Amino acid sequence: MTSTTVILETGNGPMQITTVGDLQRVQRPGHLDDGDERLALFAIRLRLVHGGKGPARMPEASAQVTADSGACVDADLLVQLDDLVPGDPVEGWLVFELEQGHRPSQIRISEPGGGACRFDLDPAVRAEIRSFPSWLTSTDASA
Amino acid sequence: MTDRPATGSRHVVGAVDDFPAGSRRVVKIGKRAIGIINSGDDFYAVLDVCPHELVAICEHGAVSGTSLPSSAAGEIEYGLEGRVLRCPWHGYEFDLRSGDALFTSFRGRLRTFAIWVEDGRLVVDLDARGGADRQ
Repeated sequence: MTSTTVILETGNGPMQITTVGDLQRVQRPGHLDDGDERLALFAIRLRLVHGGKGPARMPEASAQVTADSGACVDADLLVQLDDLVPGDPVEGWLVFELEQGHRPSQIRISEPGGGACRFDLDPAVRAEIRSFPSWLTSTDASA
Repeated sequence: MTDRPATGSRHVVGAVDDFPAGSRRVVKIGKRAIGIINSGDDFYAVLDVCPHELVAICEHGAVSGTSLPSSAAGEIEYGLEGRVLRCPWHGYEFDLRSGDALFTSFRGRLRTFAIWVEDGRLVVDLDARGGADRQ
């Protein structure tokens, strides 16, 4: 996937956010005790670079994803955003679940006290399948 | 999928007795898989995704303490018992309270949610981080 960069205006100055690599479709069969196979876990890696003049923090940043169906879901940023240093990039995953058969079309990231930014994704681009060793996903403890 | 009573972002995940000390269970709340952990001293709710390589971390991960940084050579101090979740794949350790990766330059963070007991039931707030005061 082509890397995309957007700027999020935060209360502490601009934050450059860039997608890294392909959209990931995470395969984790059997990991739920109430097994809901109707949902698919996706992840996209983001690199964030604080462009303000001093240290910053944005722990309350949030993200939402719009699917090609039009449905909007909350997404989770799995990265520490408490001690951002100007020019020092941090990378982490943005993860979210969509109904099976659907793809993300837009990601929106916002910060209280700041602004919001949006990535447009091409739902036609297939996600890279990310799978794990069977012993990590098996529900059989002896596996 | 089990429907769970909810008020806004707050969701009842079950009776406290359904989560005995030492237990770990993954439940579905909305579209998220949330691991509910009873360490014996406290309850924790975390997204069931390791921030390193995205594996499901709760079911096969270990809840324990860890070796703390020591200023004296040859001395090993053990602490944070019941507050550390270790990923089964690469061994990354996360503070269940803050979600921070422990004693490493890794900047990933385990997603945590506020959880508390109310009228004998466990309640999770998807809009509040773990360790935060409840509104």
